[in-house]
Amino acid sequence: MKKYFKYFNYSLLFTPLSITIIGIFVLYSIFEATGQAFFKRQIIWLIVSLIAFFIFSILNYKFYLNLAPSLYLFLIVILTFLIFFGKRIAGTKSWIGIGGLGVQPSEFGKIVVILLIARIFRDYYKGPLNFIDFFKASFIVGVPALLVFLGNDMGTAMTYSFIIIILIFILGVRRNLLILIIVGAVLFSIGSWNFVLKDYQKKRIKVFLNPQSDPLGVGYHTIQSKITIGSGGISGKGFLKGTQKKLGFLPAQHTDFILSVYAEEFGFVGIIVLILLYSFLFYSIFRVAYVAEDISSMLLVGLILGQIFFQFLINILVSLGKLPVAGVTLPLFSYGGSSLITVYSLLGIVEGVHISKYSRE
Amino acid sequence: MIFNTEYKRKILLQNNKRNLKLLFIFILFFIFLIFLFFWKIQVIDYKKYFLAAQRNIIRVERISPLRGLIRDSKSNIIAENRLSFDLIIPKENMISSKRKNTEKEIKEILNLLKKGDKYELKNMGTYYLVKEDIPLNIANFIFSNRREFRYVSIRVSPRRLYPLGESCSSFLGYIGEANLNEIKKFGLKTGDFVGKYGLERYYENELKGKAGYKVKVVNNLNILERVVKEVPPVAGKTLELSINLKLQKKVEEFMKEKNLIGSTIVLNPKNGEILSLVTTPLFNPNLFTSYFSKKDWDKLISTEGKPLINKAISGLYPAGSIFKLVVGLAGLEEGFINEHTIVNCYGYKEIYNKIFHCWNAAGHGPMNLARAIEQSCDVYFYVLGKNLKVDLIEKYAKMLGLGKYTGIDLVGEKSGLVPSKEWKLRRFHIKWFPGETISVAIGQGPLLVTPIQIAQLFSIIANRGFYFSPHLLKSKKGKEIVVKIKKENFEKIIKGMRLVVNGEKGTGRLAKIEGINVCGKTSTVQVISKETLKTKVKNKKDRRWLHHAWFGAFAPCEAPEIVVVSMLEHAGGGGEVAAPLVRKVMKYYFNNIREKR
Repeated sequence: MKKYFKYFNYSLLFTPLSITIIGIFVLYSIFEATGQAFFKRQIIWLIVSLIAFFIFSILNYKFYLNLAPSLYLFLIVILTFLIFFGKRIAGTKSWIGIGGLGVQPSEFGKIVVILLIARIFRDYYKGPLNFIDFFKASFIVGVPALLVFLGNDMGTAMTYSFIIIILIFILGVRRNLLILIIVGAVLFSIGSWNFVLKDYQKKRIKVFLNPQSDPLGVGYHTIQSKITIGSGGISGKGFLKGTQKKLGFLPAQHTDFILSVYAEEFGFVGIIVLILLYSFLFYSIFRVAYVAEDISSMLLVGLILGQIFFQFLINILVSLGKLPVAGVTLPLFSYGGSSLITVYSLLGIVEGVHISKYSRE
Repeated sequence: MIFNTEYKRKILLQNNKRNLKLLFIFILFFIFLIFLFFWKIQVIDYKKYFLAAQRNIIRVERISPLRGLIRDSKSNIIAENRLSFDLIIPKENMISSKRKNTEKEIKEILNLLKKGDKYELKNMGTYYLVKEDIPLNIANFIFSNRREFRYVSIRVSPRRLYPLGESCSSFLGYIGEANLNEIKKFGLKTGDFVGKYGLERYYENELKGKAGYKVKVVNNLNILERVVKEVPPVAGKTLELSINLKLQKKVEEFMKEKNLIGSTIVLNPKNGEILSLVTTPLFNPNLFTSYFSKKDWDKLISTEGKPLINKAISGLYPAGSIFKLVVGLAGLEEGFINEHTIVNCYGYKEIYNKIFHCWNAAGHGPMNLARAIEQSCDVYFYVLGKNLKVDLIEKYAKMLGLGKYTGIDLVGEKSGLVPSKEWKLRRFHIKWFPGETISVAIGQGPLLVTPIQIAQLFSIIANRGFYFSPHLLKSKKGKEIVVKIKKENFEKIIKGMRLVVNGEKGTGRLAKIEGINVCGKTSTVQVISKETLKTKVKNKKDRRWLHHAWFGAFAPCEAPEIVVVSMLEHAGGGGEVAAPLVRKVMKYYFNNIREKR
């Protein structure tokens, strides 16, 4: 325990904590305007998340790497179960009701999948990925992603695919395989456009390409988000003084579009502060991965870094109107218990990797 | 071997770390990109989005002003306003994603209205009009269920109301939706109503008032959050008319009971105030206050007698014998005749080798001016006209207000026509034939007048040489206009006019009132020659072959208080039809309206 605090990496705890606390202020501002008390629940979720952080950081990561296969099977069972009996919230069936609160196993599932991938490739000293290994990884990620997709949660399903992208990024792939992957991805996109995507999802994409075509319909969200951000200017309208959030022009402002509300009230200056905090967090995680001594811990931390970063990127690009509305929340900042706990757990794992490296020495 | 494997692992780990570093550079690149995006949107394009945010939440609602009231001289209301509730849809609620819900709500409301489920959307600029003037209880129901009716809206606006129905329609005119020109001219908005005719049009600028507006902050459901600024509308000015409603209604009644088509004007010669102005048939101007159906419009348009045209100011008729007064005045003033000049009437007169008939084929015998006016002898005026020549006649006709606008405060006035040599040359490029003057001398030929001009003429004669432009707005009394004709010459004419009503052989004896000295002049205008009627017309009883009947009068002779002029289309002889009507009006005036002294 003495060692634990001696080697504790404080930036891995306090950077995300600052981000989440700022997020709670934004949620409070939304509460002021609309009476939706998300900020109170978010405080409870934060406490739970911190507990999760410490649990994951104290336990040796090798312990849950070994646990990953059984956890994975458990995840598959739950996700399958949810497709048939899931609680429907906001159109998706990926919720389990616990008391009055909803929990999304698909969020926690990311931890499990990351762990399993890190475990499978823990001894992968073979150079770039070959076809069989790529297929194996795709299968591991694809099955839960498909189940989540069938539960009607396209956004979360998409975030699973980041795991594969990061894996390819870190381990590298053979050139032939890379070409094959790209061709496959293109075919997959065409196929899903024609056979998988629902009309409203297609419309989202179409309107994204030309938001003015339906400014009060589907393109509405994108345009309203840009107006909200842009009208904040350099210094913002001031805490609690946003006009857009107040009048409810912005949809899902506590989740998908929380950054817009923040940008409106705190302006470009606020954005610089927040993005710098995230950048510092990414750097801290990157450091842990970079100094890792074995491939399993490096891969584990790298996957976590990529996972958080990609969600961050997608959410911001959606807020800025650079991507169609995808239903991806801003990690650490948006409201959402499952997501918050998941991200803090992942950060806990990173902290654990960090501490175990130094305590060995 | 162990070393080898260990070494290989290290190399591979290094490779992977290099990839990891690349990933981080990739991350930094995107973060930089994000900064640029925020810079663009929040700093460079700030103004644009700031304004958009303003528009997002602020709605400016126009508040229609109340149109000015119109009252008669006793402050009775002739035109006022009421509230109307229109079912509308803001345009943003008709976009594809909301259309279904909107249509559902409309259907629901139409069910309540029990008006079938067909409706039309009328484009009104920022909104569509679905149904106008819905009943108060339904409007209330929609107001109190705002949560259920999210897409439709109720627009409350003042609307013109004419509480008297068709009474006074003659001079009120009507209003209607402003067209593009009117919107520009009067500074209006699409869907606004504007005076189209009559007083409503003439005094549009006074009546229209000034719109107010409300700056509202609304939320995304368009539900009001708060009102930021409110500028109340300014109601239009009230018009106080010289009209006497009691008299107006009575005259309307007199004309309607005999089913007469034409105009009757009552005015006060001492100030030009019009006490009553009736042109029949009447119409109901309330029809025009909302968007009315094509059926109603067609019906109105096809009504016999053109109710929408104010015949008192824009009906052009031959003056007929009434014009003899003008010719007589000219003859006296120019010294061609005096009151003793005698002309013998044998029932016709040959002038320029052409026979001109008197209306009385038996002949009137020797005629002086007064007798000639009393019996409306044509021959007397043929002779006088021949001597005067057309240009002198024209000069006096114009001096007496014919052939030019009276300037009455109504739109659509016609100037009529007084012919002259110069006019004919200009108009037809033909020289004036002296023979034409003979017709003009008895008010025929190309001469055309409006009833309001004749009423003005009678004012001049009644006042013995001065007048005020006829007007409806009390405060519009203009300057006294003096006509340069000697007072004694007017007296000589008036002597004849008194005989018309009171003389033994007067053509207007039916206008006589015991105890009041009425002076008048009849006029009967043939619309078709006797020969043509006999030989070419099948249905000889058709109303349209009947003569136009004129009768103008003032009373009392010594100190005139009122002038009454009646012009009845296709009604018969002036003495038989118009004179009794004028008598009724005068009698009513002296018994019921005239202020007791």
